[in-house]
Amino acid sequence: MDKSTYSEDTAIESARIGKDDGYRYLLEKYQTYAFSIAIGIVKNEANAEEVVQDSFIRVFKNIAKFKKTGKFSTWLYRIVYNTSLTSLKGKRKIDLRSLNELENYEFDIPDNYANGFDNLARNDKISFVNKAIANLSESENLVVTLYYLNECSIIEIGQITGWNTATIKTRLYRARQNLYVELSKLLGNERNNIR
Amino acid sequence: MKKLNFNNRVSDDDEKLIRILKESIGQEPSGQFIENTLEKFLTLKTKQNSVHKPLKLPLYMMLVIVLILLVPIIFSFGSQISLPDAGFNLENFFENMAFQLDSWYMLSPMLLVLVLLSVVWIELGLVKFRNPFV
Repeated sequence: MDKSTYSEDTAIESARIGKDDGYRYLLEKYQTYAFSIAIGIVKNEANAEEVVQDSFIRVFKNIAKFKKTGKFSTWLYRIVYNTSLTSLKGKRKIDLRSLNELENYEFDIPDNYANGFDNLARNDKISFVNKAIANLSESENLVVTLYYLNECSIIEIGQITGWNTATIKTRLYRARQNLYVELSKLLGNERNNIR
Repeated sequence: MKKLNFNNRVSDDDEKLIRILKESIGQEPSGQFIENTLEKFLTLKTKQNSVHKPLKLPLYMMLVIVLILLVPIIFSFGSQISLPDAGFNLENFFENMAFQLDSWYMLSPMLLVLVLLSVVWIELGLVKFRNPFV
């Protein structure tokens, strides 16, 4: 398959008529994004892989029903999100408590973070961020993944999760704030360990 | 003080963190994921295509025919029940019913042909689904 001339629209058309190259293109393009959403919710690599596989199969089965008015990625992510929630049923519920919505999205950065994070080596930064993300709630993790990694707009996140705009902004704000708090805690612990 | 800008995800003056964040949360499934998913999907697709799906129309036709066959029995019995003063007795009841059935089933060869056609229709569907080369 020549990737330079092969667009997402072509892939969707190929998949519609049952051609393997269409399915393969969509899998290659979206596997990382879909997997990152699923693992943020189910918190287990094997389960996340199963969820993503089931989601892609559902998408391929119903690709003829996909309306071109919307984005393919939004449709796929919504299916991944719903399949992840279904796989959690009976095991654990995602934390979706209602939030007091905010008007002002300003916060202070803890001193530990401001003084320490930039001085870390690149690999250490990644490791610290990974640990900090693991301490976020599922909904915070999900909104961070959709917004920063998958580069979904607030409206698209709403279409995927069913949350309203204010809730998304508040979750995103809390996630960023908690991320700084977690990072500063980790940096503080690191310093204490060195001393 | 940091303020989130929801119109531009990197304009809140912490682009470095956002880049690290993107790298950290972008996780890939195992190496065989694409092949496994394709194989599972294509197997399911093949299975789905080979499953016999009988056409519903002949089934509905058969139901209608069964109802047509039952109509004289129901009506002859109903008319006896609804007219208790007409001197109901078992002998008359069976005589009347036999008469009505007799006239009704004059149509029986035609009904029989219709039933047979429906069965053949279903069977043809069966052959077609099981063997795409026929």
